[in-house]
Amino acid sequence: MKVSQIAGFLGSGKTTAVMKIAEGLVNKGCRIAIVVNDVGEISIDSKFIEANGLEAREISGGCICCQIAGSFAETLAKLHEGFNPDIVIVEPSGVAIPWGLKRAAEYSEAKADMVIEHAPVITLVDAVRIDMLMRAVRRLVETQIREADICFVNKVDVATPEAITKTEELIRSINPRAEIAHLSSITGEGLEIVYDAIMNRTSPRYDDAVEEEMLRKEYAKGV
Amino acid sequence: MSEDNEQLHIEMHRAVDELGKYVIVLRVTSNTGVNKDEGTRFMNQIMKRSVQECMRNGADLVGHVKSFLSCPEGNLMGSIVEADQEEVAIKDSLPVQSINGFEFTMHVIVHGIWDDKVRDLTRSILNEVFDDYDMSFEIVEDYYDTEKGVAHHGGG
Repeated sequence: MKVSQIAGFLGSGKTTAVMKIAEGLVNKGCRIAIVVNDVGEISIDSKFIEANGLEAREISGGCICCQIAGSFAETLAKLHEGFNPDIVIVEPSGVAIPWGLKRAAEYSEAKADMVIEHAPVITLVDAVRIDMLMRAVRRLVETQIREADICFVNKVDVATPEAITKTEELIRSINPRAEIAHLSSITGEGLEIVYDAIMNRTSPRYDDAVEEEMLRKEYAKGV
Repeated sequence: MSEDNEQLHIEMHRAVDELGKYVIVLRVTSNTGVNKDEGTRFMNQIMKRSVQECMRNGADLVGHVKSFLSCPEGNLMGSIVEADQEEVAIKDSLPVQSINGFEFTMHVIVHGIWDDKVRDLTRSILNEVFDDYDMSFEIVEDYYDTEKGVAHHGGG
């Protein structure tokens, strides 16, 4: 079972994108489930996703990569047993660290007869609000960018060309290794890139990722 | 997780603790029925008023304000991510023009003020907003109480 993380700060367009991505992947023949971990005790997103006919699970009461990692692993195992999705799209709350989430997902292998594979970690960066976000919640935004395999500059249908360029430069300065692409859930720009990344590509497993990061720090001076 | 990442994770949690969060669930009824346009107007008004109050009282950024109006006939989902957003973005999955009542969930997350203040400000606008409509409400869940309550922390 493949797990696909789609991160991004509050208001970055995650829910709209996740809905579009899930619908697109279903149309391509994939069996999709969505796991939502919102900040707070209840998620509006999972209500909406379920109301629109998609398989959704809500995990509340903490961060899925640490405080409630066990619940997350249990949820994945139950999804595998009961629904058997090809891909589980995870919309984390914004505090989950991708490595931690990978580790928590891999816990589920002990609870069900399956092997977890990870899609590239995707972060959506809101090109419209980037200045405001960097002023108020810089640390959160930086971390989400730093941990991504692919950063999508989101809302390119309404952002100015200057804002898009500025967002790209910011991403490059924080995470030079990340691929950068544009996304608009309204026009559909970039959705095929997302589908391809989720369906056909992988990101290292937790253990591999730790080793890779250690080597990177050792030989590339932390670049 | 490496030591660096553990430290980073703690910092991330601290940053999230700086967000003010509040969820309330209302049961809304009306003797005369609720027109869909009226329901949409209500969502607009209550969400925008909540944002206005938070921004006027110390918040400096809207994380998001989302709401979900649900009834047996369908649902409406509303979202605000900007303090000066003219209209609430509404996703319409309500195929009828009139309903008898609904459940309304609103999730407010802002930066710059804490949970208790977001709760007080949101609760303070309820009567004012409902005065404009021929609808009455009861609070079904107040998630501030849930999160801060004794039971949540293993007691009571």
